[in-house]
Formats: sequence, structure tokens, C-alpha cells
Amino acid sequence: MALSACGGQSDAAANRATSVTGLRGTPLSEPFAKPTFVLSRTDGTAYDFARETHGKVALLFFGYTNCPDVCPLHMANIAAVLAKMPWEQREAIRVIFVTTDPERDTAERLGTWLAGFDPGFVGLRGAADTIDAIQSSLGLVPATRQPSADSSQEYLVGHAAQVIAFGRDNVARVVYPFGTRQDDWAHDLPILTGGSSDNAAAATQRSSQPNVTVLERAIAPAVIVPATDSTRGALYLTIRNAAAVEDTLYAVSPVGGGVATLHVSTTSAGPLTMKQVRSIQIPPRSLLAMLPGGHHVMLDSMPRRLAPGSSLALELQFARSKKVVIQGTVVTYAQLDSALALQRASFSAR
Amino acid sequence: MRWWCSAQNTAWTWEWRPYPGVWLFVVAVGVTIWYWNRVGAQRAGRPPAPMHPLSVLGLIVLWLALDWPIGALGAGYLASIHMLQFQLIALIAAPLLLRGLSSDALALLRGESTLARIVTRSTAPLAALVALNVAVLLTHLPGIVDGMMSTQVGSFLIDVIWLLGGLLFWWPIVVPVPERPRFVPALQIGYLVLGLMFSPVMFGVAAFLVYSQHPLFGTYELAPPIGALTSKNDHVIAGLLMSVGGSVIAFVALSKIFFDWSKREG
Repeated sequence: MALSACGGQSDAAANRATSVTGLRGTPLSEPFAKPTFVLSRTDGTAYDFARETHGKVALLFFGYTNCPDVCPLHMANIAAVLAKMPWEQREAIRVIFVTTDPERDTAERLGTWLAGFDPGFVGLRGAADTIDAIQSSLGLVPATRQPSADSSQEYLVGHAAQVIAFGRDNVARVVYPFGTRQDDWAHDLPILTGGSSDNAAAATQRSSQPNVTVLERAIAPAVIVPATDSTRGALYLTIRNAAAVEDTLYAVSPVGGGVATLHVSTTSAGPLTMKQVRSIQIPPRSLLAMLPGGHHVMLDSMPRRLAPGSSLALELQFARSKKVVIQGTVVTYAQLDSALALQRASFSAR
Repeated sequence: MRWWCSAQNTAWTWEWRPYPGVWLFVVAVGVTIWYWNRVGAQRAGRPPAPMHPLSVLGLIVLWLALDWPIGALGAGYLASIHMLQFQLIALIAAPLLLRGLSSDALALLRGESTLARIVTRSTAPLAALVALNVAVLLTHLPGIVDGMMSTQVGSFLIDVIWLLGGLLFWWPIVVPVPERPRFVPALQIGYLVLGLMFSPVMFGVAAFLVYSQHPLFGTYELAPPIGALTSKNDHVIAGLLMSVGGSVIAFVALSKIFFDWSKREG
């Protein structure tokens, strides 16, 4: 499969395999995890790719704004499909465009160019060496300058032509080469976000009925217990779904940085084991009470120490309800039971 | 050098490109009309008449539709220009070219020869109506467009199908057929209304282009973009051109038929 454009490079990062995923993208013979890198956004702030896209579908592409064909086509086609998707699915997708031509792609130019497709697209810049290293880590051939036959351009940049799609589990299993059509994106993106393509129509219908999508919901302040190194910890929430329809908690994000993942502990297979889950369902008219030994949220790579007595803002994202920011209080392990009791008591008082 | 316009995966530039196949084709069509008229005049024992001005105009329209830039843009960049090409070739150039055939030349096609019989049957109004609509349907199916526009031969065939479909469709209107006295002006007007203004095929294609959720033709969806025109909007313009353009051309033609008819009836 040809994986490059604007210069005819080839790349061996992805091999077409028999699709067992139900996706129209090209399956990777060897799925890989989301890389960790930090580059500059077009507003100059740092963008930690793994953290910012955690729990989201991340469509990662390396290109440049002077690209005559592949880059604008990919961006235009993705933007056109996203514009027609229901909010719940669109919100779960991040499109990240890393420039392979940082010399000409100034922050302003990159930002303006991407905003022309979708203001939500993230443009990233960095040193050429850094970007080369990121591409290599993904199995892509680093972009190279090539002479341009067009007198209006000093040079072209040969670069990988595929969009790498990381699922909400932060693993890439499929790529989208040049030639991917809007119809293909419209088929695959709902599946990647967790809903099926068939469900997309139903979701569209739901999103057109805003009164139905907003659930009556109450969330008690979170309780956080730090681990010994204080940069990690466990977080417990209590959420009441008073609506007549199920909702799903699918992401918790610390507002100031850090990574949060949903987990469940179970003894069903013998000793207590913990496993990461993509989401937690909250049935209609029920209470989700996170407790040690059950559902909880793991905090990792926190930018500042989780000191007992301090508080932390957390953004919660649901499949049907709007995202909400709540406060969490850090307690010691010895204080945990009483804090949880207090949490449930404060909740009952509502 | 390429001989005919076809889809290419290169960015569009306004740099002129020669397409010698187009020049040869237009010259061949012109020579055919000229030679046909000459033979007809010789058979009739009359001196050959010069080319009819409308026929020359038809050749110019045909050349403009096939050559750079319209030909190149329509072959591989914009569905809307592809549709404009169709209208120029099948709906404008074809009737103009037919006006260049002298009555002596047309007389060669009457009689009992095989060619005469084929021409008579294929230019009967119902057959001609069906021929154009089948040509329109086939040459606008996404699989055929995407498969053929990527090659010069495929692109050439689509252009030839349009021209032949247009010639057949306009024949009953433009060419006087003494053997077909029942195709009176009122029927001609109905023929144009059914064939162009309210053609189910043309309206169907136009509706798909305008209302489909995603662009129909991969050739134009994946073509290097030109300006800020999105591929979906390009398809919408193509659909509007097909429905509105065909109706406008039909309206002009049926107006002429109507006023000529009124004049004759006094």
C-alpha cells in the first residue's frame, strides 16, 4: 500500500490485512499504542498528545499547509463528515495535524489554514528533529523536502499520506490512506467512537431532541486517595441518574493536567484484580457509587502532588449528558471511609 | 504529452497544456461535415455550399468543451465543469453541428441502404429520446465516471457518447424529415419538455448530486482542491446545472419552434 504523498515516498508502517474490524480503513497488522509527545499548539501553548486525546478517538496526520492535494483533501473530508455527526460522537473525536514543514507553517498560518476546515482541528508545530522522531516512532518515514515543478512553490514536502486513527482505548488499529472518501469516514467514525454506523442515525435523531439528551443527574464531590508517590491516586464518584434513560460515563479528565482512566476491580476470577474499562454505564433511575473494590478512576501523571486537603477540578464526560466539571477532595487512606460516607450523606441530603 | 483530458492526481495550475487529440477530433468532425455536404452536392449536381455558420459555431463550442481549460477541469477536477461539458457537447454543440448538414447531404441517408435504415430508426423521436437518457444515465453512474475518467481512452469515450447522444436527440428537431410529417411542432415541444425539462433521468441524476449526503463521484471528491469550493458544493452546482441548464436550453429551443410555428400559421 502506498502510504505517502506529495513526493512518492513509501512506508511500511501499515500493511493491508483482511479486515475483521468492520471498518473501511486499512487495518494495521500490528496495532500500536498512542505515542507520548508534546508539541506546540498554534496559540503557543504546549499540547501533550497522549494526555489531551486520552479516551478520545484521535485522528493523527502529518502534513503541511502548502500541500496541494493529500492534506487539504483529508482535512476537508474529515471536516465535512464531522459536521454531520451528532454532538456526542463529534465530541469524542480529536483531529490533530502535525506540520512537517515548520519553517513555512508558522503558528498563525497553520491555525488559519486548519480553521478553514474546522476550528476544532488541532495544529501542532515543533522542531523538525522532534517531528521526524515522532514519525519514526509511529513507523512512518520522516517527511523530506522535494523540488517543486510549480514555480509558485519553493519546494514540496514528501510525507506519509495516511491518517492514523487511535481508538478511545488509545490504541491504533487502523489507518486511512489517501483515497479515503467521506462515505468511508462516515461509516467508520461512529464505530470508532463506540457507536455503530447504524446507531449514528439514531444518535442524530437523539441529538435533534436536546430535551431528551440532557439527563437529570446529580454528582457528589469526588474523593481522591493519593498513592505513595502522590502523582497517582484513586478517585471515587457518586452519580445519580434520575432520568428514564441510561447514560454512560466515558471520560474523566483532570482539568489541570494528568491522565485519568476508568477501572473496575473484581474478585470474580479469584483474587482481586483491576482492569481498565472504556466506560461505565449508569442505568436509568439508579445510583453509581464508586467504592474500593468496585468501579473507580485511576489518576496518573498528575502535574502536582495530590496533597491531602487539596482539591482538584475534574471534567466528566457522558454519552448523553453535557460534560460537567466537579471538584474532588484529596484525603488520606485512613480518611477514605469517612469521606465516602460523607459523600453519600451529602448526596442523600439533596 | 497527453492526447485527451483525463483525471490526474496533480494540483491544478492555470498553465496551458496542449491536447492534440482534441484538435484532431474537432478537425475530423468538421471535415466529416464538409465532405458529407460536398458528396451530397455532387450527387445532386449542385456546387458545394460553404459551411453553415451555426455549424462552425458548433465546432467552436465542441472545441471549447473538450480542450484546456474546460476539458481538463471537467475531466479530473470539478464535477460542475464536467456537467458544463456535457451541456456544451450534447445540448449545444450537437444541434449546431446538425444545422451544418445540407439537404443534399441528408438525402444520402435516405433510401434502402443499411446505413439509411439505421439512421432512420435510431433518429426516430422515441429511440432518440431513450438514447440520450441512457447515455446520460450511463455516463453519470459513479462507478463508470470514476472508472473511465482516470484514463484518456475512458474520458474520450464519455465525450463521444455525449456527442452521439446529443446528435441523436436533436436530429428529430433540427433535421427536416419529410417521411415523418406527424412530428409536428406541438409534439416537438413535448419531446423537448420530456427529454430535457422534465427528464426523469436528468432530474434523478441532478437530485442525487444535490441531495446525496456525500459526494457521488470519487474522481471529483479526491481531486486536488481548487480554491475554497468543497467537493459537496461542487456536486450541488453540477446537479443544479444539469436540471436548470437542460431546462434553459429546452426553453430556448421550444420557444424558437413555437414562434416559427406561429409565423407559419400566420
